[in-house]
Amino acid sequence: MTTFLIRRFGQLMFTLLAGYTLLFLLFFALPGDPARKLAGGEGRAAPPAVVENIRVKYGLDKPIYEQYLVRLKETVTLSGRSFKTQESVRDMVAERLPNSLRLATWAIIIESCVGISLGVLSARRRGSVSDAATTIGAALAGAIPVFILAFLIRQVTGVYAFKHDWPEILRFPPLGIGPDEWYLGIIPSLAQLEYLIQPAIVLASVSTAIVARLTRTTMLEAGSSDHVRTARAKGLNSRTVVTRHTLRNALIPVVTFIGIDFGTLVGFAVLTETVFNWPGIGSKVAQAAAASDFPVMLSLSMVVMLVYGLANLAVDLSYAKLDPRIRFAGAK
Amino acid sequence: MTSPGDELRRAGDLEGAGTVGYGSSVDLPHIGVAHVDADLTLTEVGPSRSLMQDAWRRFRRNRLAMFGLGLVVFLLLVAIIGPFLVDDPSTLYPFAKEQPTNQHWFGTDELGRDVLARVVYGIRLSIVIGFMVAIIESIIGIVVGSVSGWFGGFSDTLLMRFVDVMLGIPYLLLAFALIALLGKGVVAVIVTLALTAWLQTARSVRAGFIQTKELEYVDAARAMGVPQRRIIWRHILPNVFQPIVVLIAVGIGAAILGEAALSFLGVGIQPPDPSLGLMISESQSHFSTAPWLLIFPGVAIVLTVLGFLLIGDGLRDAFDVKDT
Amino acid sequence: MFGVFAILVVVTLIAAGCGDTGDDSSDDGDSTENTTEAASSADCRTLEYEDVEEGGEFVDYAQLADAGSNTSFDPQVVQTLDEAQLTVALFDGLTDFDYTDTCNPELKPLVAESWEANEDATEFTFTIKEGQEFSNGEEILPSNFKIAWERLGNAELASYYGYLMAYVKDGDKLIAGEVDTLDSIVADDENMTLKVTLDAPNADFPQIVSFSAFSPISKTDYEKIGNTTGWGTAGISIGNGPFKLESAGTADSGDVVLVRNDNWKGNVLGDTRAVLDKLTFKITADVESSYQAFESGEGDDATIPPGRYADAIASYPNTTKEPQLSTYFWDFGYEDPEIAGEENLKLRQAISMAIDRDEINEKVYEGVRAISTGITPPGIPGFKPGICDYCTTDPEAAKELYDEWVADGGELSAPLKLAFNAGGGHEPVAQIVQANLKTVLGIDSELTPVIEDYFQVIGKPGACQVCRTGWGADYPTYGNFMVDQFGAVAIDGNNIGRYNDPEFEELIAQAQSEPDPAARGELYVQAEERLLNETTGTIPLNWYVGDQVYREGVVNFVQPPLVNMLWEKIGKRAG
Repeated sequence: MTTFLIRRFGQLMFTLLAGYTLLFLLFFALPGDPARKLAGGEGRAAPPAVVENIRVKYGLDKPIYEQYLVRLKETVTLSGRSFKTQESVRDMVAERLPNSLRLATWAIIIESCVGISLGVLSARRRGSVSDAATTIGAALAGAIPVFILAFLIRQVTGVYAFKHDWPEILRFPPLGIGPDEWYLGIIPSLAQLEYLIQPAIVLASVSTAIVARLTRTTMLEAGSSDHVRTARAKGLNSRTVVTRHTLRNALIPVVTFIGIDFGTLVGFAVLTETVFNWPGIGSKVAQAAAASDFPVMLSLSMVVMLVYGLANLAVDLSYAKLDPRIRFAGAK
Repeated sequence: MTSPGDELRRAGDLEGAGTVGYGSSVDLPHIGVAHVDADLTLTEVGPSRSLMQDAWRRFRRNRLAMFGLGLVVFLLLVAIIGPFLVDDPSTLYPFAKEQPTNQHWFGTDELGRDVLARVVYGIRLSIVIGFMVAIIESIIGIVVGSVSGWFGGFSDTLLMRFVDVMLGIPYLLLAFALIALLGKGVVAVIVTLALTAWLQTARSVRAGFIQTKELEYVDAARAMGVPQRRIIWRHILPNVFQPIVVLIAVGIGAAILGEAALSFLGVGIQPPDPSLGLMISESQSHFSTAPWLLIFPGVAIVLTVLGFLLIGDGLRDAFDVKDT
Repeated sequence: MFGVFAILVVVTLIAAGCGDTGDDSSDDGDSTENTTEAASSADCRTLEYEDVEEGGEFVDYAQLADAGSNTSFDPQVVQTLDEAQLTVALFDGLTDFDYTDTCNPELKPLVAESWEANEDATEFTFTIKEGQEFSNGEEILPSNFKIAWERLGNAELASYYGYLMAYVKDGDKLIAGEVDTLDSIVADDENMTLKVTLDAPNADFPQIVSFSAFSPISKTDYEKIGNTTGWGTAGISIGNGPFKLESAGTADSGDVVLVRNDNWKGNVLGDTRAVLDKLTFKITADVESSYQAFESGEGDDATIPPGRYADAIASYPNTTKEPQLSTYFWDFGYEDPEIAGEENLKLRQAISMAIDRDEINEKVYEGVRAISTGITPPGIPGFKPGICDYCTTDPEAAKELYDEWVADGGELSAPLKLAFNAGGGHEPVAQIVQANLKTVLGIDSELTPVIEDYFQVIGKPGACQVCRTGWGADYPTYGNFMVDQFGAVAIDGNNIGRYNDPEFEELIAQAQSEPDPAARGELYVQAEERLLNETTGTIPLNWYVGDQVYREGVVNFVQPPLVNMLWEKIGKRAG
């Protein structure tokens, strides 16, 4: 167990370092001179002396390997500052990471509850109307772009509700993070819930569909596996079979998905964060990338990769709990 | 001061939009990519002719799958024949945002273009992108996954770590780099989507290889001195073939949605090319006055994705020999 | 002939734009009288403000919708009108305009007490009022202006407006990074005077310094960030305007919250305190989201998204639909080998005449904008309607010109590139232009959207062939349109088409040194005629109208022609 953990951490560190290297190279591979971009953008015919000044100031004149090390240190310690706004990267992470974690957590809760229930229902009544409805619903959820979904939801709970004077409880604020009131850091106050619920649903929508389909498929597979058939043959009622045997096995891939999904939702909820004005970490990475804001892009990407890596690690660990057949030694 | 009025509001351009997720789900639609990985536990022997016939029989019995197949066939016909039957999608008629009429069955868009024509061309473009992405990513995924799974050892570690790294990198960065290299448009979209989709395929193929490699008959073949290439072609690839087919079907749907997302972000298909994703994102402003601008392309994209998805589901069920 | 026709078009459009649904409050009766004044007097308004009780909070969804990460409120760096809306709430300059009569904006001293010029308008001395303070209590001295202006032109800061310092003697060296301070700006903190020596005569200089880029900077802030830029805790946070910064969140998300600045000494209208206690600007992802928020009952104002003007004007009684001193046009790249030069003049004229301005206005702007008859909009002193010979849509004439050009050996080797900033709502315009060029002239063209930093990318040598742009006045002078958009001095700055015509330069130089306003206006008109007719360097399309909607109960939400709100005036009626 300990050796497994050490090895996995080692792998994670290696992945992060490789990711950093790739991003670092990407920045230099992208067209355009970074110093020129900093001197007011590519388009400015900035005087050469100025471009040189900037090059020196931001350390862009140093040999690439040296810059690599300097930036690596800056990235790891989060001590960089935005090229564009001078904001401290550490402040940015401190402000945005909790927002992202909270949103992702609630999205995961929604997708797990709704997705697994639908999947089980659908698998138990295979070929039924509700099965078909789940499949089609999943396709729909996946097929409607997030920004359209957000727009449509707000058109109902915001605009329509306001115009027709719906009771307060059915109306939701369309944008923003709200009062930022959380108990134990994660449970929203009632006022906070109003702001959280819509982005969480939208963020969960696609994943919910996937969880439902995944649960259905694995339930069916597990349902046809030998020991379940044996259990059925022994005359156990179908509810017992479902909960005790099928669901437990079916959960493994589902948990895998949900775990990894958490890692992604934290760092990549860009569209949701953007349309709901939720100041998370993913939208900031995208902005930094578009603006060639190197320190922000690097540091935040590393945070995103770290969260993703940790989520993966957690998933691996949970394997052992769910499926005793898997031993750490064999996990690769 | 530059640019008063509307143009400023989008001066931030892409910043306002965001990055594209990958892999599992994110906020971007990527149906099923992740779960195919988990499904990939086929341990049966490669498909003989009768197995394929069995699969087809099962597939045919699956009403949803057949519906999906019918849908895809219909959409393929639309994509192939449709363009000969409809208007030029770039002609501007004098009346913008006209409701559906006899002349324009789906109405006209905000610039006065025939929506039916644009939807038909949009479906064609979506399907082309879907297939191209699926083909490219399968090739990369199969090659990398096979090498990794068959040879194991150092090359396996190296390739799989690389896959891990790529999975963690925000892929808008990649999209930017590709656009810088290829310019914006269909090619950049296809390459961007393919380069991010192959990761899961590679993992799945590798898993399939590792499982099959240990099977007795492969061992036996190796012991008998059957050449490596032959073992791979004859014994292993057929075994990973089924999940790959499923993956392709689902991957086409995912690619179509990916195109929509990229186009929304402004790094995808460029106007005036008719893309369903672009049409949908442009329709937002006009939703309250001309809802058909959202409805028709919206339905088209949902049906297209649904079709491929249902086929994928059907294939998955059909190949599953343990089915009751 | 042309002129008269053009005036009628303008007048009708403006009347239609304003008086849409029968709530036409102003009297347009006197608007069609004479040739030179008619169009501008059609736009004349008297801005009236109500008295309103102090207090209240205002939540704005209009100004920073889709601000993106460009957002900065650093006065020397601000580039777009959206950002400037905040800057004007936070900073006051030496002078400011009184817009009570919108056609005769009157320049008044603000932080300055007075100014005087030498005879040939090359030297200006501003006397600054005693006892004025920044929001942190720091005294406002002439040296605060000196460091701010030197910062504006500083090469490292690389402000988009840095070229403005070229007006000042040796300013070019500052811009080139050769010097950091200028001897031509003398700040005498003892006697409270600021003496500026200009590079060339420029009678408009006191007008120019009303612009927010010339706002003073506190020494506290300057010591903190020097010639880099930043915002909030990381940068500029102290101003001298009616409001002060309370919290900025970050530059690209969250809310920017302003509260009343009790140290403020007043505006040119005689107000000495802001009405509102608190003014919150919401930063959102796009105009559509902001408008949806407004429609859901959030906030007090919003920007109307494209495609919803008619809907919004019908649904809400309060919209700012008055004409603005802003102009929408597409530039020809002056250095482009395919379309530039004397030999391609007819091609450019043909293109300009082939574009269907009505179609653009109807389909994209729902008919609310005014089709322009030149670049400079009505309301700018010196404005003359109908000066452009090639700004009316005329397919036959366009085809004729094009055929002549082809007969003279003209040929396009590749499709024309129509460049615009992606996601800015210009895709529809570009597509109409594309269709027009194809239908009328048979010219192929391709859309070239630019994702990032459009105005910087497209201003690069060789980047613009036909590229969309727009301009809102920084201060109401003719020169602000001619010099800043087409002057050689603004190349690599706001002159993105890199237009650079010696004769045009000669005319604007003459205009700048002309002390008599009427004669100056006449010279600028000649310059614009040179630009539009003899060289056809640009394609005017339309003039903007206001596009903001606000809630009932909001008082004094008046959008002056210069676009920037008088935030200190805005209040809310109780109940």
